[in-house]
Amino acid sequence: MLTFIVRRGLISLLILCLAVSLLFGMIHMVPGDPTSVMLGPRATPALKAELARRMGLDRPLVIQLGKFYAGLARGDLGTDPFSNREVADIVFEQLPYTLALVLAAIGGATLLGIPLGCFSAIRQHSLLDRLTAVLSVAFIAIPSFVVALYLLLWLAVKWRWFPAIGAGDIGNYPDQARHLVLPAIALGLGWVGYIARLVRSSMLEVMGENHIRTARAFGLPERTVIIHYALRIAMLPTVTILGMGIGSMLSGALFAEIVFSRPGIGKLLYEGVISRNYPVVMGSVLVTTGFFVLCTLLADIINALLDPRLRESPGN
Amino acid sequence: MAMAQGAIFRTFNALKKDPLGMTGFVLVSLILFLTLFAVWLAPHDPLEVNVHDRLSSPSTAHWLGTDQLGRDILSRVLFGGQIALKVSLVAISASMAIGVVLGMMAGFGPRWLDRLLVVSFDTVRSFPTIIFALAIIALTGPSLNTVIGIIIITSIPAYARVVRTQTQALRERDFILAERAMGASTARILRDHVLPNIAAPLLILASMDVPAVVGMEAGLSFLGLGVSPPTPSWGSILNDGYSYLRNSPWPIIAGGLPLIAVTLGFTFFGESLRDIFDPKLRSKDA
Amino acid sequence: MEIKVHSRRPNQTRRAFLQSSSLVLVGLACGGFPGICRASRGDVLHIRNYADVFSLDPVSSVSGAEGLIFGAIYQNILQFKSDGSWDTQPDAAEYFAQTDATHYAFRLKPGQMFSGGFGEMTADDVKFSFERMIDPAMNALNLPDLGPLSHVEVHDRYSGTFVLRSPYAAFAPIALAGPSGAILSRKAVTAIGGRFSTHPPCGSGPYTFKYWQAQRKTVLERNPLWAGSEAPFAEIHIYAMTDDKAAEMAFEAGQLDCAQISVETVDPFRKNMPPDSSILVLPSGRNYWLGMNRENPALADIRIRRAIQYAIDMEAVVEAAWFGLAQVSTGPVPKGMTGHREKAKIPPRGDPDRARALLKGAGVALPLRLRLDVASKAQNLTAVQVMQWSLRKVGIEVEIHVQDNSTFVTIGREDLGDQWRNIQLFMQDFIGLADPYYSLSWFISRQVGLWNWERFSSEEYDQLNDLALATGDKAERSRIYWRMQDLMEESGCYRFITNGVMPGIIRNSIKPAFRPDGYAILRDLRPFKQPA
Repeated sequence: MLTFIVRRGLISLLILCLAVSLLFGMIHMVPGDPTSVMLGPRATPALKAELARRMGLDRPLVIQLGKFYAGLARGDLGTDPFSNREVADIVFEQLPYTLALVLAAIGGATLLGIPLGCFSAIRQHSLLDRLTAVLSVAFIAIPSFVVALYLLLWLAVKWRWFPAIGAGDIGNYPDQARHLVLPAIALGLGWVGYIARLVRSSMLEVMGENHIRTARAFGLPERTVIIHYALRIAMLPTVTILGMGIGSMLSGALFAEIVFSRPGIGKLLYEGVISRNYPVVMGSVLVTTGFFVLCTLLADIINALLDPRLRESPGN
Repeated sequence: MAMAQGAIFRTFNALKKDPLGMTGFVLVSLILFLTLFAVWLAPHDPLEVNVHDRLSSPSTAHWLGTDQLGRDILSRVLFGGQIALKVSLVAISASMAIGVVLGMMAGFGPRWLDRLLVVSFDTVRSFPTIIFALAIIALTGPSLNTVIGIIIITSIPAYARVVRTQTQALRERDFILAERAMGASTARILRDHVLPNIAAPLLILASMDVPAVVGMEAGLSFLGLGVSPPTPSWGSILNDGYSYLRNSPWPIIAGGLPLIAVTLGFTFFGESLRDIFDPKLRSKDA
Repeated sequence: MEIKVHSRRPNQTRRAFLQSSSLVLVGLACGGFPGICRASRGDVLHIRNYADVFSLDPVSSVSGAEGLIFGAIYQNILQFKSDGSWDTQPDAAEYFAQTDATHYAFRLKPGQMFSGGFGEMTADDVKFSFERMIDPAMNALNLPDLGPLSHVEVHDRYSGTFVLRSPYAAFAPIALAGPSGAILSRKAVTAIGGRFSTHPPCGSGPYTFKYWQAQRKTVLERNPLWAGSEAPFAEIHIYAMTDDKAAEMAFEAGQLDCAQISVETVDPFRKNMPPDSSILVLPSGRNYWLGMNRENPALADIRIRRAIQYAIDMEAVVEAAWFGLAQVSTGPVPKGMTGHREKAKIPPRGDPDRARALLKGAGVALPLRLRLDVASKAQNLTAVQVMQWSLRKVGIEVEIHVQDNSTFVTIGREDLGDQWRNIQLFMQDFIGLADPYYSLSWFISRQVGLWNWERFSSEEYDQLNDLALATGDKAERSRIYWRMQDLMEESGCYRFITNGVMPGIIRNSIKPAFRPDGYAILRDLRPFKQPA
């Protein structure tokens, strides 16, 4: 098992390095000159050269990449030449906003999805079961930014139930929570039905198994059987999916952050690309991709723990 | 030919018994109809500017109102469908074709090739899609072709993985081993035996993939990274609507509805197809 | 009653957190709590800035966002009046006069103290501040502002003379009243090593710098040492908000007292005005124009360029993109400035028939296909789509190439690739400053391939540009700038769009004070006298 984890971890690391190096190369081929953007029409060549030096743009690509990894080893992501701040500071300042959003979305989806799934499994073919089935399929694929725009339009701009913009005042938790509601719904809506379906199908599988039947035979109350036995086992594959879900939600988070003008990694990255702020782009890609890869890795490991057969297949 | 007809007949019969699938089928047909005949159906030229009639609410002249340049939103939505259709058709067929080739290579080829391909697939998948897209577009500048290219690259792994798994499963089956023993070439085995066997899951995957592809194009156009103005795309209609959110809600309402319709239509239809062609998956899922 | 809106509670206890979380549920249940922020905040002014501060050092500042703050924390020799004109009045100087074409004499008011215990402002501080700007070693970004300044002579503790190498008519408005002319304390700046960025070591304006939070805000407080009448606000919080929508929502939520807003929201705001607020539609000194690269083969024939000039209904363009708030401009020099033309040669609505005739004369096959590059800003995108529609009507099919801002600023540059050969039409916008020199000097021959992407080159234009700088007489100077704008138009390289507008929203309790280019004059913003 340990070999599997180590091997899988190494592959993840390799993939991460490949992805980041690839991006590093790509982004430096981009036309557009960050020094001109920053200094505006008044820039003199001497000034631009100085700024380029500060950004490390005057060195060959390989050296820049090498420096990036060397810095990384020291936990240094470089400096944002636009604000003169540490990229690591900037990225980790924005990360909590995105994490809060993703966790609120997936947390909300889980809180709604699990009871819905349980109920559907217990009352198979009931109206709610069928409704869940339809809605889950319906909501999974609707682009989250469309949901975000509709929510913004109605709940924020028209009815003014929730704030439309930003993340709330620093330190003011109720305000921040209120700002989190709409983006989290936009991001999590599709997952409610998905989780419900997952829970439902694994519940059905588990409920047919021997030890549940045994528990029932022992006369344990149905509630106890469901919550303590069936659900517990049925949750495991759901957890795996959640791991991957959190990672893939980062894409959706970018849209939610843009539509609701929220600070966060997605917005940071988008603005970094737009303004050619290479160090910030690299820093935020590294963190998001790393997070994504980590989530997938954890999901794979949990999966493997649950299902030893997977460990043998070469692709995994 | 007769077989194909039989399949269609069987499909249709099965669809009739599945209200959701039928809803999907109707939605998909409706969207295809409206899009394909947009030239005749659209009440106005989608590019016609009329500044003094901008951001108006729905009226008899403009059923879905007008945008910030006074252009008819309904006409833009109809023509926007053509962009969505073009992107999904081109992107899905290309990524499927490449995915099939790469997947078969991985599944049937030597072990090192398999590993190499799997790692490349994982690398592509390890970028959150939108980040990958942002980086590429920054490199090439926004255009519809770039968007198609990005969707192709990011969709290949999904197809390739399905093909690889199926190929691997088939490769050890008796009839394939027998063919091999009789000296059939790999290409022939792949063409005559593997391809027909993976066609159904691939088509189902493709149909389920349409909403994702359309959503991706719309998303990038929404960020201003897709089609160039004044070309109407559902995403660019939404982008305009977002900019002028306080002035009129109609561009957002009108740009979002077709996206939702496409999503529901193709997902319901795809699910239904899967149930018909692949009862194994159904029993596992439901 | 005073409710603190931007309360910062870093040491919030768990109990307080639990209380506030239960408040969330209550708040959600009754549909949020509107109005919590809508309260007077005593004498604190909350105002939007369109960008974050990069540096508060005049040597390295990059934008008007910093200039806004400079006006409150530093003093200049001269300052702009807050009557909506470009007229100046003395600030730190009690006496100021131009003695000849290259000499400007000044005498400082006595008793103007620098914050931080750096003592009284002297003529030597003026010398230090200006010579620091032109010191080649400092590599000052805003060096061009100072023109041909040679040095500053100090006569005694308070008086001195600016000495220029050649005449520079824009010296007073741009160098002395502008951000590059901020006066710093020699002692203070030397003490911290000669350079600073976001934490100024000294100041002598009505307000002093208190603190800066990256990407968030800059806070100023009343300067107790200020020699003039006491500053009206105890604190000014200047929020960096790049997003218009965010600023608009923040104003509606009562978090801002004054904010620049986008043109399209003026109408919705007027229909649904937040309480006790007014909309101000201020002019802006920006220059928006459609440029044509005359060295591109497709546009080499002047008749084609002139046809494009005449084909466009610019009134429709400005109506669409500026929502009827701005007017079609007559050139880079905005209204109210020396050298502003009353009329352009091309009528605002264009003349499509003339355009067709010109195209016919040029003998081009229609439809003529051209590309138009534009930066990815909603307003510019709207404008080019209307131009595209206008051009289509005379048989010119334009393909719009949207570039993000950072790519766009490079497309005409010779030193950054070959793109400058391929560009044909492009929509460009530059900011203006207090003098026409700043608006027009980008189009001289030396700027070809740098910022002159039209590759417009006229010997007469170049000579006039120099001549205008040496001309003190306003009327004479105006005539020169009129001629320069005529030349631009006649070359067929330019179709002027507008000088734009700068709409803002402000609480009725605040007395507005703005420059003619729409920037707030922070030190002159004050509350209207409240009835007791």
